[in-house]
Amino acid sequence: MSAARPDNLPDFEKPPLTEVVLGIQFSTPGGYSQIHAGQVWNLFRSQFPLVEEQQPIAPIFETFGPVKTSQADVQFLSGPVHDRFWFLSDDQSELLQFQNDRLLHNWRKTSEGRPYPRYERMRERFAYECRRLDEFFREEFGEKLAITQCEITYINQIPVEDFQSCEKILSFLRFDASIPDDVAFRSRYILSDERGLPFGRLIIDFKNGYKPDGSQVYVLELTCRGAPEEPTGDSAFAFIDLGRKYVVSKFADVTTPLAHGLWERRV
Amino acid sequence: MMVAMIHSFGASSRTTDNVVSLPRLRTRDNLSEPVCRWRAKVADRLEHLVRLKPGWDGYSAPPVRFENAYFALSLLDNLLPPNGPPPSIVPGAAGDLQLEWHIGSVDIELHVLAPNRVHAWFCVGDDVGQEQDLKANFFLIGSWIQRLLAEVDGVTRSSA
Amino acid sequence: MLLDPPPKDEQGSVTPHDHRGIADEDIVIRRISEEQLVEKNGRRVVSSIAFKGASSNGGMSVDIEKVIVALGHNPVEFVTTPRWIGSVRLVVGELRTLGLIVGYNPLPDNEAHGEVWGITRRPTAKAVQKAAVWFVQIDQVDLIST
Repeated sequence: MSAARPDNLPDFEKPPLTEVVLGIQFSTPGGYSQIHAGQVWNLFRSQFPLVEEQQPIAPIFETFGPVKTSQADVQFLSGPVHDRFWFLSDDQSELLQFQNDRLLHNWRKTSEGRPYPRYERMRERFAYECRRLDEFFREEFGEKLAITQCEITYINQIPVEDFQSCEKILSFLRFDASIPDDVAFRSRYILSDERGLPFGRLIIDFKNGYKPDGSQVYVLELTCRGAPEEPTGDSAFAFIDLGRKYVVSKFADVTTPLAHGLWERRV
Repeated sequence: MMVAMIHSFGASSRTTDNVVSLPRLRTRDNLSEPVCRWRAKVADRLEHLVRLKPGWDGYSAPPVRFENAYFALSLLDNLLPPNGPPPSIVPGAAGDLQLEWHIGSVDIELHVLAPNRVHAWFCVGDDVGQEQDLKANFFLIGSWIQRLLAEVDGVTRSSA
Repeated sequence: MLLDPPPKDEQGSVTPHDHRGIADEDIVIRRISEEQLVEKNGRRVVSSIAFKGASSNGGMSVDIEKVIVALGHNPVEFVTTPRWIGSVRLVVGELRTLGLIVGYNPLPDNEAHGEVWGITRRPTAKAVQKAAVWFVQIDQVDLIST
C-alpha cells in the first residue's frame, strides 16, 4: 500500500532538512545470532554495497501512564552484544541500519549525495525492505517479523546566521532581555486516537551547537514513535504515515512565518 | 551484579552527529528532583533475569528476553512514582516475566508476555479480582497503584 | 517406550494432546524454581507464574512420575536437578477436571517430560496452584498464600 501525500500537509521548497529516518523495532526471532547479519546484508547489498559497524541502539518503548519518572539510560548485559550494521549506498546518502531487533532506513544530506527523495519514495523503499526481512525471517527461522515499535524522525539543521536568535525560528519562544547563547530543550506530546486513548508520542528536541567547520547551527529534531495497532508491516506503515503527518504539521506549527518565508513554504 | 548505567547505549537512530553542543555540566544536585528509590533494585533484578541460564526452571525455559526487560522498565517508569514500592519480578517459562506487589490486602500482578502484551490482575482482600489485557496504556491501572500506595501507607503506620 | 509416541506436526513438534496412556490417577510433578518466589506479608510464596503455560505453545512442563519410575529412577532425585529446585505433585484427573489436557513430550535430556495444556488465564493457573501439594518442599516457602 503506497501513501499519497495528504492534501494540505505543510510543504516547503527549501526546508532545512538534513536527515530523515524511518524505522521499526521488532522481536528478535528465536535462533537468530549475529552471523545472520551477513545474510541480511545480502538481501540489500545491490543497493547498499558498503558496510560499517556501530554500537547498538537500546530497545525503546513508548508506554503511557500517570507517572513520568526521569529515565536514566540502562543497559542490560548478557553475553555477546549484537552490533548495529550500516549498509550504505554508494554515495552514502542513504543507508539501512540493521541490528537483531531494529531496521531503519536513513536518508541524509551529503555534499555529493542525492537530494531528499521525498517521503513517498523513501516509504516505498522501506516497505520493500521490511517485506524482504519478513520473508527472510520466515524462511530462516519460521517466524514472521513481529513489529513492536515504529518511528519516523525528521532532523533539521538551521544555520544560526540565517536568524541570529532561535526566538526568530520557534514560534513559542520569547526572550525578554538578553538572548542566551546556549539553548536546549525537549518537549514530548502524547498522541491520542479518536477514543482519547494514547497510541504514540511526538518528541521535539532542540539545541544549538557547532559544526566541524565552526559554524553555528540549531538542530531541530522531531520524532513520532509508538506501537502499531498490530505487529504487522501494514499496521506499522499506517503508523509511520500518521507519524509523518504529525511531524510535518508540528514542524510548521513550532516554526515562525519568518522561517517559513526563508524555507519557501508552498502549502 | 550492578547494572551498567551509561549515558548512551550507542547513540540513536540518527547518523549525522556532526554537531557539537556546548557541554552541560552537572554542577550541583537538584534537591527538588525526586530520587527514584525503586529503579536501581528493579534494574538489578532485570539484569539478573536476562542472564539466567537456559533451563533455569529445571526444564527448558530461556532467560527473560531483553525486550521484555526493557518494556517492563518502561512500564514502571510510567506507572510507579519514585517513592513507590519496587515489585517482585519473576521469570516465566518463555522469556516472559511478571511484576508483582503483595502488600497488606492488595495484590497486583502484571504479566509481561511480550512488548505491548500485558495481562494485568488486581485484587483486594478475598475478592476474585479484576483482570485487564493491556498494550501500552497504563493509565487504566493507575488507580490500582494508588490503592497500593494507600496500603503501603496503612501498613507503615500500623507497624510504627 | 512406556507411553505411545505423541502426535507431531509437520515440523516434528509435539502438538497439544490428551494422552490416553496417562491415567486420571497418575501423578505429574512440576518443578518450582527459587526464581519464582515472591514476598507476601513477610512470607515467601510461589508466584502464580509458576503455574502458567509457556506463551510459546501454552504448555506447562511436568515430569510424569510413572515414566520416571519405569526408567529406573527415583522421582525425588530425578526432579531435584539442579539440586536446589523444589517441586509439587498434581493428580492428572484433577487437572482434567479443570478442563486441561495432559500429554507426553519426551525430550532428549528428559524422557519423562510431559506437558499440561490449556492454562491460558490466571484463574486457571491459580486453580492448578491450589490443586498442587509439595513433593520436594522449598524451605519456609508457602505453596499458596494463606
